[in-house]
Order: sequence, then structure tokens, then C-alpha cells
Amino acid sequence: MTAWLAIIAPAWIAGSILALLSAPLGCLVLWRRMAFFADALAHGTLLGVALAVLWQLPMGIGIALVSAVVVLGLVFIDDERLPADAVLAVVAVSLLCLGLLTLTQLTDQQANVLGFLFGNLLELDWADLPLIASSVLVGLCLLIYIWPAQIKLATHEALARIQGVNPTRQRLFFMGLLAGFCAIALQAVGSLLISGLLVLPALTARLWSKSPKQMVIVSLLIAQLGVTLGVWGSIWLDIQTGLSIVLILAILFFMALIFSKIIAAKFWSTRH
Amino acid sequence: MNASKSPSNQPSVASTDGKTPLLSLHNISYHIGQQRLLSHIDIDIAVNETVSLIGPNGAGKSTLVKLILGLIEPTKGSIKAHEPLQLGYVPQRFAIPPILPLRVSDLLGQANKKRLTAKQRQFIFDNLSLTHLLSRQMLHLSGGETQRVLMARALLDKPNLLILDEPMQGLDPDTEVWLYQFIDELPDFLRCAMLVVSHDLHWVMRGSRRVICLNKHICCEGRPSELAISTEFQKLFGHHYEQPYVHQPHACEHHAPSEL
Repeated sequence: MTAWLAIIAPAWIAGSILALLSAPLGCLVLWRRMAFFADALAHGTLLGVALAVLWQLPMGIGIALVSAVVVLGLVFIDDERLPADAVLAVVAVSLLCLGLLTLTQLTDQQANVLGFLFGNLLELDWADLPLIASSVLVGLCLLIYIWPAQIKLATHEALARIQGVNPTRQRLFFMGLLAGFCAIALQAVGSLLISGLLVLPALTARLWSKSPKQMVIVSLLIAQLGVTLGVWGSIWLDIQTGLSIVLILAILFFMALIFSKIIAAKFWSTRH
Repeated sequence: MNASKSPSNQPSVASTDGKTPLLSLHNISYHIGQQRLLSHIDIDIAVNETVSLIGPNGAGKSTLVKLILGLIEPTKGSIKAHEPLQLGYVPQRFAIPPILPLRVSDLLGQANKKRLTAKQRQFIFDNLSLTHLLSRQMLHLSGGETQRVLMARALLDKPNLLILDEPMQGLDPDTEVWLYQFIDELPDFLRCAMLVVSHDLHWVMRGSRRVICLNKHICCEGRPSELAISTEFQKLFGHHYEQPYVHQPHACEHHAPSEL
């Protein structure tokens, strides 16, 4: 146990730090209806990594580049005849194809593909923690800064604008924050599962909350639980950390859903 | 109810109505492509003045409201505020995304907290009967309850221009009468200019407020007593106004005028 702990500790701490940002950000992603956009950005990180390896750039630069292209591309694609969710799904799969193709055909990273797709938190060591912690801290500061405006926008855009909120600026801040988060989360849960880490705790929390603040707190707890169980599970089952974290989160979600339905059914049966 | 208690710092200067200008729209036009939604609109709204805006469907009432709120920019013309505007807005439609858990108190908390004293805030809660609603979910409110909450949300910002866009849509006649009475009798500390978009000719014609009839341009404008005889008004609304008033074909029958 203690021997395992030494190996797991950096991964566990890194995951817990990441969950501090992923939980509130996931709530905002749901409230602002950006889940598909987050998924497209997350899939784009794979292409970002591939390009960075290919051109020998830092990975952050590659991911930022692809994210910027995705945002600009979406502005260009915006067409009222096409439903936005379908367009985003198309963008996501295209980016995944491009990313995988570049990574496997043009670079020598074939051995790491699974890690990029599904996360490999256990490769982290203590030296990686300061960078992750400081990135998350910056992300949290930005999130706290845009939080009131974002909640107002989620509630009613016109009322928010009358109070002086600039929706375009807020959207750009939020997209930038999401792209940054995807870059950090890639290591933990991998390109395919980033949106699972974002959305699942928030979705679970919605079932048990009455106010935005409650939803953030509950989703923080769920995300911490998912990361902790997920890191241990990945060792136990010898699978990628992303797989086990997201699997745990999914199990928690379905359990919460079934539980809340049972309670709702009981409530109605006692009232009638 | 507690008008005597209401902390007002302007002792009975109620007669300044209609004199000091607050907002001027000068020769406003708004087009989308070739389609002219509004043309050559000139409107002045004075401090503490109540203006009703009426017009048939598609007349551009909501567009005009959006222009005044600054949500869209006019194609031509200019909007000038003579003093800093603090806008209050009660939208026509209000739907919270179900994924957002929001209590009434959370929504009201989004208003500016510094503009009214605790006593004044309590006055609003009491008069709109909100206190028992505060911990309810916005999603579970009825139409009338939502309207009251939205009214409070707007008033808590202590606006100097309050815009109500069809505030009575979907309300039962009792709530409607009650809400109109509320905005007619705002206490001094909430006194503000109001622009009320309304289908309800009954309310519009009853008072002595200024009425603007809009049909892509301003058809006519003035006090109800002057308006009813104007031929343009007759053309637009005459059939409504002369028959016993029925609120909307699909809604329930309106109160007989004698009951009011």
C-alpha cells in the first residue's frame, strides 16, 4: 500500500487539482450550452499535440493554435440552415481523424497514442505538479473573474447586457479558458474523455442542487471522488487513468439518476 | 401601504413630470436587408413620464424596445440620453434553461445590491408578495409569479427608465389588473420613466398617459382623449375600441369595464 502510494501520489494530487477547475467549468459548460463545443476543442487537442510534435513546438502552442483555428472555423461555418450541435460534432470527428492521422503517420509517437486518447496520469512525477497547479490557479482566477457575468448570461442574455455584460467578450474569455483547460486535462483523461470529466460531475450535481452555488459544490465533491477512485482503479485494473476516472464518474451519474428517480416516485406515491 | 414610511428625498415635487427630457430618439430607422422594420421614429421621453406603446403584430414594437435597450444598433438616426440611463426591463418571454438550478432569490441577487436600502427592497418584496417565493425554483413558478419576480428584478436596479414589453401576456385578468395598479402607484423612491408595450387598450385608454401608436412608423401620438378621434387610430384599432373589449381571441374574456 505505501509502496503504491509513492507511485500514485503525484497522479492523485494532479488529478485532484485538476478537478478543482473541471467541476465549476463543467457547470458553466452546461449552463451556457457549450458541451458540444467543449468536445470539439477536446478532440482538437490531439491534433494540437500532433502538430507540436511534428514541428517541434511546445505542446501548449500546438493546442492553442488548433483551438484558435477551431474558433475561427466555427465563425466561418456558422450557417442558420445547419444545426449548431451537428456542426460541432462534425468538427470534433474531423479533428480526431486529422489528429490521429498526423500522430500515427507523421510522427514517431505511435506508442503513446493510447495515452493521448485516454489519458495517462500515472506518468506524472512530482516535478510536473508545480506547472499543473499554477495553470489551474490561473484558470480559477479567470473563472472567478468572469463568473458573475457568465451566470447572468446563462440566466437571460438581454437582462445581462442591460447590466453592461458584453456577451462577445465573455464568450471569448470562456472559450479561451476551455481551451486552456483542455490542454491541461489532456494528460489526465485524454482527448476523447475530456468532455466526460467536464460534464459528468456537473450533470450528476444538477440532480441534487437547488442553486448554482450548490451545483458547483456538489460537482466539486463528485469530481474529487471520481479522480480518487479513478486513479486507484487504473492501477488495480491496469488501464488508462482517463478510462477509469470517466467510468467511475459515469457510474456515479447513473446511480444518482436512478436514486433520484426512486425518490421522486416515492414522493409522488406518498402524496397521492 | 407604507407610502408614509417610504424614504423619499424629494418632498412632493411630483409635478416635474413631462418637463425634463430623459431620452430622445431622433429619426431612427432600422432595416434588416431590404426589409424596413422601423422608419423615421422620433420619440422623446421625459423624466418620470409613462408612455404606452401600442401597435398591431409586426409593427416593430419589440424592435423599438431592443433599440432603446441598446441591444441592437439603429440603421439610421441617433438615440440620446440626457442623463445617465439606468435601464430596467421586464422581458416579454423569460425561460430559464432547465439545466440551471436557480431560486427566485438567486435571480433577484443578480440585481445591483447597492441602489436600494434594505427597507426599500423589503417594500418591493412585500408589495409584490415575493417573500414566500424566495426559496422557490424559477422553473416551478407560474406565469403570474414569474412576472412579479421579473418586475422586482427590474425595480431592484432602481431604474430611471423601466421598459415593460407586453408585461401582461398569459396572465389572468385579476393579476393583470393588480400589476397595472402596482406600476401606476409606484412609491416616490421607485418613480421612473416607463415605456409600456401593451396590447391592452383598456389600460392604455383609461389613464391620461401619453400613447404612441406604432406601425413601422409613428402613426399617431398623444393623450387618449385626443387619440380616439384621430383617423389613423380609428383605422388601426377602431374595430377593437368600439366593440366591448375582448382581451385576445384565445384568452379568457376580459372583465367588464364596470368592474374596474
